[in-house]
Amino acid sequence: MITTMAPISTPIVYIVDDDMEMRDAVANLLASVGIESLTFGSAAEYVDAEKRDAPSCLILDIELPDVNGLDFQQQLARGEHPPVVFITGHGDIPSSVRAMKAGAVDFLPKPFSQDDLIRATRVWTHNLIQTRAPTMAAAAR
Amino acid sequence: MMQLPLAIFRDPADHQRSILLICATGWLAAAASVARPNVSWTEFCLIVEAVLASMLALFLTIRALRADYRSKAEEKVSSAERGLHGSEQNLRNMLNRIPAFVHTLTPDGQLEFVNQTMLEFFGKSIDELKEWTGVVHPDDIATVTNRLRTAFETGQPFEVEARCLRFDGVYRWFLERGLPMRDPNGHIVRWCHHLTDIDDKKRAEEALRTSERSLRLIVDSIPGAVIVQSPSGSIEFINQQAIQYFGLAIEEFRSHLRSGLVYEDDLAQFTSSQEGAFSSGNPFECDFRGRRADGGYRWIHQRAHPLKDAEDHVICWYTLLIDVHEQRMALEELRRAQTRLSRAAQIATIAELSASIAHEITQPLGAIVANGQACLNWLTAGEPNIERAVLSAEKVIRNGNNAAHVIQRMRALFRKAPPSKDRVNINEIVQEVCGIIRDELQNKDVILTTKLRPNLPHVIADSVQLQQLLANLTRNAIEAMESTLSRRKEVLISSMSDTDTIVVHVADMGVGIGDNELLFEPFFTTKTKGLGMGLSICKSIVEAHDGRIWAVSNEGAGSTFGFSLPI
Repeated sequence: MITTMAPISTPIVYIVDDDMEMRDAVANLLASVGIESLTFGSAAEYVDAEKRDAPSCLILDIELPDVNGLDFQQQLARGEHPPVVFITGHGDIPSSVRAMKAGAVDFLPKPFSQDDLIRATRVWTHNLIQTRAPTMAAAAR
Repeated sequence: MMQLPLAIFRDPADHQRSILLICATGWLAAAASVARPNVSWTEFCLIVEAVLASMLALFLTIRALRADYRSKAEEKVSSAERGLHGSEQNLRNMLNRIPAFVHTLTPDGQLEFVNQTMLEFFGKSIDELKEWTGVVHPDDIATVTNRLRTAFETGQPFEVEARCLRFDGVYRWFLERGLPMRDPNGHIVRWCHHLTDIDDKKRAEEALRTSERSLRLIVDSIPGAVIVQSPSGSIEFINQQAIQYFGLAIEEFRSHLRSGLVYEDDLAQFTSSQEGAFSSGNPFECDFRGRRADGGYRWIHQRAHPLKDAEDHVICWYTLLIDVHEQRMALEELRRAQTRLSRAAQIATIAELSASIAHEITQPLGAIVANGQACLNWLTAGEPNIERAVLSAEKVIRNGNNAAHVIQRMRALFRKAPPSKDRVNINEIVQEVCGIIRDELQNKDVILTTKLRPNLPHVIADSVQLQQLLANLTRNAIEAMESTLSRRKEVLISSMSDTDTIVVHVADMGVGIGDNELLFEPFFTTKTKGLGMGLSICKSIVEAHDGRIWAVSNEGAGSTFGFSLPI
């Protein structure tokens, strides 16, 4: 639980994908448009990592080695978590419906266009900046 | 004085001698006195007395002799009479005591004599027995009366079987026989009858008949047609079920067996399996379509067993026919369903495989697109970052290479590596494969038999690939029998050689093969599991060895896969 009020820092995107080339490429793409990101090879790595107190968004691959991305999303939904954008190698309708119902903000089949990814990321990191500030202020009181 | 000769004469044997002596004495005395001239009165009287005495003696002698003869003759007659009387008594005693029931009847059928044994058996007097209907079972009285009447009318020997009441109130079966006794003129003077106790025999016969009836009932009521045939196959008996099922009596059955009863297409196989068994004497089974009473042809399972004597000669054939039409239809439907299912599984497998391939490819493709975009972004930014652009471009190349590797890996899965060939003994390969799959055979209760022709020529081949080929075919055979429940599970691997090839067959008793031409195509499978690559790989291996592979359906059950390799 974040208790100290810090200046609103730059947004950060967390990328969880078991394919090293893929997460590296996504990070590279985001970097090329000025979005900072952190990459993780598995859900466990992401859970263990120290999160930055900043507006954030989680790009989650559905096919993860340790846990199914959709199941992991449901685990996350029990606590506070950044908005989730799914990326998948074979996006089928049932899994996208399931993802959206569980609260995912976007669902991008691979290979995705940079516009789709960047827009999704920007929207959700930006939204967080908008919605988060009063929340944090309220917490500070 | 008279006492002496009489006493002497008591013995008739001395008569002649005595008579002669006395007569001679008398007459000598008389002659001597007469010859003398001066005979005194006294002397004369003495002489006369002597003559008279001798005459008396003679008279007595003659009388004695006569009496003697008379008495002897009388004695003879009376002894003959005595003898005759004794032998009749003996006979009667004998008749009374022999352990048989003997009686005689007058020509008009009146009871004349009954022996003691018989009287004791019935516990009745002869007078009581004259009312014979009292001792004969009521059901048999009519028969006995008829037979008796016929015998008395015709004079022919009499014979009847009837139950007679024993003294203790138990009826026993008897055979009564009677013969007429005739006088020299041929007239019947009496009937001699004799009863034989046949109760035990009769009861044994009855028991036999009962057991025969019960057996016949069993044979007639078992739910199958039973046929008994002679060693040469001619029909000797058919049970009630057979008559009803086929709607044919035994005579019609005989004439229809070869025409009409068996469906035309099945007749050749039916005949050959029957004749094969009749000549070899081995039990046999066969399935054929037979015409039922309603005219419809139905699948029938035939099972025949020979009954053999001590010398192993066939006495007769017992054949059981069972209607298996429903099972057969169900089995065929099951087979069709299996094929449909396997087609569906095949499509699903291909879909799964393509999805898996798609995933493998889309991953690097996604990275390529992302890195390419990033590269562009770095270059087109307000302050182009050449260093990051170059890095991004390098990543694109790396991603592209990765995609190429994925495709190469996929291809390697299906590609045949060039075989490393050597001189190979195919029988050794078979033995090795048998060892490799021994556990699988045991787990699935499959019996593997090999029939390997010894001293086969070597083939030039890759032994590892041949192992894979044989193992694939054998596993295929085992898996083909997995759903087989009723049949025994057997795989037969046989090897043989032609003039220029070696041929190996793997035969199973499984579900058999459907569409022949698709068998060796990749992804073709009749199994619920598996990719359908096994036979495709087999084909690749055989073709890499310039050989040939084929599959045929067996006559009975299952299929045989064969391949040939050039020597």
